[in-house]
Amino acid sequence: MSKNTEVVMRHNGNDPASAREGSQLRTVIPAADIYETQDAYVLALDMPGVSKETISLVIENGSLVVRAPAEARDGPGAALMYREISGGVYQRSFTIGDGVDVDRVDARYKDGILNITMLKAEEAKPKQIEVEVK
Amino acid sequence: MVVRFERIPIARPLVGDILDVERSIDSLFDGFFDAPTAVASRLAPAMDVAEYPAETVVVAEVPGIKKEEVKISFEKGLLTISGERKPHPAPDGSSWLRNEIRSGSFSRTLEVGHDVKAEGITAELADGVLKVVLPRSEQAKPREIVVR
Repeated sequence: MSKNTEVVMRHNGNDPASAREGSQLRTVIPAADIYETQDAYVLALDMPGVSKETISLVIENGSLVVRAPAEARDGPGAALMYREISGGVYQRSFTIGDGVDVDRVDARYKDGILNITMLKAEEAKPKQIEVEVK
Repeated sequence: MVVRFERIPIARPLVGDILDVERSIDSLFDGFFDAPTAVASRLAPAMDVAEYPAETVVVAEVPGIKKEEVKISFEKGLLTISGERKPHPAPDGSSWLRNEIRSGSFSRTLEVGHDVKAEGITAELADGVLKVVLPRSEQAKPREIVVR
């Protein structure tokens, strides 16, 4: 064993249920990649292990709010648990202002990633402005 | 049963620095995509390990990884989960506003604290969650010992 091996402290195996409950109330901020193309803003959020139907995406007051509840994990009879997965509610909000056409937002959930594409509002697209040189 | 984890050092990405630079030059956006904190995602997958009477279940979060991209091996009591996460494909001409998701290769090894029936190991991957079930071999199942 390399010297980096650590012995995990034994979780209080008597009551995994309460540890689970507590963790489901915690908020987890999903990591995000965001980039901008000429026509749209694209977001990818790491949100593994949620049910697609429970993902909530709301745009209001110039913000995009993403939320997904924690999934129940672990069956009965688990004797010892080592937990790193936070198991909480995913929640994150992004300021989007007026530059987005809120009626044309596409969201897909695949391989644990929520992909959101927001088309830019017409006024926000880059435009060529002709300057007459006198 | 004690599960030993091999600690993989999580290198801190330069996310914080990138965001600060972006914020100062991106006055056009004026708070566009402002998010409360700079979140650094970890490259080594977060894992839960639960022991049951008949098996140990290991759950790892591996968003963005397809089945063909993850490798699971078991040898001499050590379970290794490894793979490579490809960076998000952004089309040419796009500009990055935030890059918190780490890409690259990862590997984690853990020692399973009981004898495993190797041919019974199963793994499934759905929605970015990998679940590996390692059944105990017959001799490793708990036995109640009666005190005479």
